[in-house]
Amino acid sequence: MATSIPMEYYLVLSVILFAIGVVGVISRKNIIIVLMSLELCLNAVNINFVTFSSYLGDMTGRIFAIFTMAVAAAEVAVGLAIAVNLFKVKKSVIVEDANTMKG
Amino acid sequence: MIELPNIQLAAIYPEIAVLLLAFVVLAVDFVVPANKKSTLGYLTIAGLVLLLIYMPFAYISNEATFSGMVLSDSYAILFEWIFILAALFTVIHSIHYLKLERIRTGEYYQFVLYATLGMMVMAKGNDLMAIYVGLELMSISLYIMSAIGKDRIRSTEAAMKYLILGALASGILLFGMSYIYGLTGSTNLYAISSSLQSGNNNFLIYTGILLVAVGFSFKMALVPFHSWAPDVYEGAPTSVTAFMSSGPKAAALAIFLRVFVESFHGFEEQWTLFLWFFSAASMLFGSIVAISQKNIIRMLAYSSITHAGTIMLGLLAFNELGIASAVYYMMVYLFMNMGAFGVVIFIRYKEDRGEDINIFCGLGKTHPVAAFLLTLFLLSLAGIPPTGGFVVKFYVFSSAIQAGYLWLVIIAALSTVISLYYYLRVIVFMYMKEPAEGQSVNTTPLQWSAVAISAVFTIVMGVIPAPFMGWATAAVKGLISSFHSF
Amino acid sequence: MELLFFFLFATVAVLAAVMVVTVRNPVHSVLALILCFFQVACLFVLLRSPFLGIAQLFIYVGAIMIFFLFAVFLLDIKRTIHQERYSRWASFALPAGIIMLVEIVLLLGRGKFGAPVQEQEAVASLLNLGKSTEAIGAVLFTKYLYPFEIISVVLLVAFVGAVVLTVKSKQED
Repeated sequence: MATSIPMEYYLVLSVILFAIGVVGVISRKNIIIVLMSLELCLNAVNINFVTFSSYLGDMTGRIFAIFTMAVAAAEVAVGLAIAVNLFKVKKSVIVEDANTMKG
Repeated sequence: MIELPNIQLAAIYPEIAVLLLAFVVLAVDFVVPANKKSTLGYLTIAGLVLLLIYMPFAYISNEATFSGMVLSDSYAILFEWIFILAALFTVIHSIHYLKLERIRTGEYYQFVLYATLGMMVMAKGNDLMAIYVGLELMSISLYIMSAIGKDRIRSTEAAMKYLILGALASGILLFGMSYIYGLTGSTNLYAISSSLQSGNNNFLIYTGILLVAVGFSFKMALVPFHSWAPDVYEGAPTSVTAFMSSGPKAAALAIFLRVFVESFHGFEEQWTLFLWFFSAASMLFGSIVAISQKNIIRMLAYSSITHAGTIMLGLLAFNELGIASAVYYMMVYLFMNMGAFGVVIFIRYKEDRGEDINIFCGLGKTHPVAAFLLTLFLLSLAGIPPTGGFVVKFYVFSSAIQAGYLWLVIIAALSTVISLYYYLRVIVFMYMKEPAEGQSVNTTPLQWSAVAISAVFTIVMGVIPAPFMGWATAAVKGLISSFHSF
Repeated sequence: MELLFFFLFATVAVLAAVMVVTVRNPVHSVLALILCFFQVACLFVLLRSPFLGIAQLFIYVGAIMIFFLFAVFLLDIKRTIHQERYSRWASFALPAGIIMLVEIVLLLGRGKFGAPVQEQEAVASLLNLGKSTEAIGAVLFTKYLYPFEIISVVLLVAFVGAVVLTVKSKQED
């Protein structure tokens, strides 16, 4: 493409966002924030896809990014429904309170 | 001008049928009163049986259609048999179980069908995009199914855990797919393969392959990506657990084999390194942790981790025998696992499901048929002749020895010996101890017949393996040819 | 000039992402994530994909984030604010994240991208700003028809599933 930005810049940005997302998923306790960190990961993946798509001059990556967005929306809808249920039964949205099962 | 792609609609007839069936169930759900939801179950069974009758006539071709997205080869069709049978057994076992557990969610049957559709899309996917979309369809349906158990706390917790870890795994998988797409310029498995063959040897491709392997391993519950499995298996309704441990595992195996054999075969030396570790860790960890389990569903969960590790031996061996025996292993695993869960589902403890191992005490005296069938399935899971479980282990081990994985086979044998302990313990409890208080068998003739069919196949596949192994070998021919021709 | 904008968007995106995973109040997290998604949408425009930028805004900011805000309001913000933010895995997560970051950036440095770049000139004309949406539409309903149809089933499943999960819990209460 006719941009003056090297492709690696976008890829590094995407890796940084993905890593922040993974750290968030592992380290935070609040389920809502964990779900948000997952969205961050999927967004980082989208940057990758669109970058490759743009620099390769190929449509596939952009279409893949659109599908990823749709899947992310579906995942969030189900995830928040489960989180609301969890809050109703346990009165908590803390990951570590979900510890009924051991072994 | 827009050009329409060449579409061979016959290639997706089974998918269309499953989707239509789901829509019919959705529509009928509105007119069925809340206490008659089992009608939907019978409707689903009827539809799936019709589909099974159609399957021998399914369209088989080695040409991909839908712009290279769908490949309806005999490999995909074989796996579709497994998925449809898994869904059928699940629905048969669910109807009465849901009544006993007072789960009145009529949508349950739809989600079984949607998950089955997702698995079928995965098996037929010849493009990372189709595989990913199918995987998500399957996963999201399973998240919902595992959240509708009677024990609200355990069920919801399990679903939450499953969703968070599952979505993280999909994210990692997608990240890997994006690198593979970026390096090869395509998501089509054939195009990826030829691009990688033509000396496209970027360092980042290893990262891509590793991330994809991690994503797939999660769906197969291989150690160290197994941590969701025991909790989700325990928390979800047992019928859902039975489904999760056979159908989706088979689907994950289907894409694992297809992607790694068709696209990444040039990097065999690199990916065997970490798959070796995943496989060995699963076999050892699964069997050792299963020993201390008091809950039979958790025990079966760890046993399924062990089996997943053993199945990976077939892919690691990376020869025709290995890949065919991995597929055959999955066929046998479907029957023995579905059978074991089928029996566990109808053992009740007072008003609850029987999950504690002590509830199985003395079952041999009170309910000899159920005890005998469970013994058969456990012996098969343990790999004792003349059951199917023995034959598939034999095939997988010999393929791994052929390929020179002596240490891995020693680890596998060790894990088999360890696993004997906890399988036999249940059998000893059933026959050597006095009957437990409050234990009962609550089931229907339909469930008995499903378990009987599982039992027959578990034995038949062990006594006359040749036709089944022949089918599996023929099915994987297409995959193998893609790397022998290079 | 473009590079300047890239660095602006990228820096804000990273800072916002860091805020998402570190701040105490979930509402602030949601707002930071919206900011981050805005920057990514801008980056998509820089990448000559305005349609994706708009889709990003509509889907993420317009739908998903509003959903999150509702969930945060519905659940107990007050209690979570006063609780420990990080789980016991936190001390393990940060080094793991940094290792992953360093590894992949190193790999990126060693790698050479764009094997099939030769074709880009031909396609570039198709991908100029105005035509981008048209090009996406043209392939979405032809070449990518099959995954597109399956995605519609995914959305149906999520739709039915969310209703089942919430309505069911309502009936039982």
